[in-house]
Amino acid sequence: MSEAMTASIPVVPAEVGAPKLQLLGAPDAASCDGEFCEIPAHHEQAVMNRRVDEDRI
Amino acid sequence: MTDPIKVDVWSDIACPWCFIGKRKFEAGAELFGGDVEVEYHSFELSPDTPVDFDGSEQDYLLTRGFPADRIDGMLDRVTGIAESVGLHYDYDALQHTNTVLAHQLIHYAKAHGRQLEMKERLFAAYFEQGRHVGRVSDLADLAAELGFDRDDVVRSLSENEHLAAVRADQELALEYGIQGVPFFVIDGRYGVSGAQDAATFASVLTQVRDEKAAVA
Repeated sequence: MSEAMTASIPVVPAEVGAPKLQLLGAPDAASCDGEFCEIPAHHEQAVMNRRVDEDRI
Repeated sequence: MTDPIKVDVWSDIACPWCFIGKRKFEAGAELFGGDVEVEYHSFELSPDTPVDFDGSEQDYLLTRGFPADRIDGMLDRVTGIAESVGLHYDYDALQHTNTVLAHQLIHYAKAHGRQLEMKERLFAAYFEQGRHVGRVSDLADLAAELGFDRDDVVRSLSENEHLAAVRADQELALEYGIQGVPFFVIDGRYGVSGAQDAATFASVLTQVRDEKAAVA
């Protein structure tokens, strides 16, 4: 993985308007919107499962 | 040999999912195995956050209307998920602050060809080490630890040298319709929102590589 060697201004041409993006990936992936950071249910379940496993150890 | 796939990432230093998403993306890029060129862009989740907040993260979230009985559980869950990708979040030490200067420092580092290094340093400083990332002097200390010229960093941040670049990133996020972070724009065509699994990132990168190969 390399680093973009550019000046400070983004390469994507903002002045002509950004193209519409095709969204890929799980729609419920964890993200932050404003000050609210969502924790999808499957993530909570994964953590709970891990804790149960740890308790068993 | 094909050109690297360009990935533009919008994120905020104060975003717990952005550091987790960074790790997951890096794992996905490793799984993918091809050339990937990454550029980070500024996104302020909470631009009205004060530089100095005298209190804990729990105190801060209370001031923003989070239900008191859910805060500890929420932070505990985020900390657990961070641990699962090898990150050691320390919310007891974390110093909540405004991130606009940190974003400027990332642009400063980009101008010196070291953006990824600075991004990683600031995330770790904020979430794992309880360092303050909102003041010029603290940010200059962090930059100096990476070998940057401390005096020049102080000059740059004091002059808001890269504020226009931060604002340009934010305007571009608006044009793309980005409302939450982390957000990954891959090859300028695909959007991937959130801290996805590594396999998802690898799959999208593979799809883009195959498409580019088909039209070459």
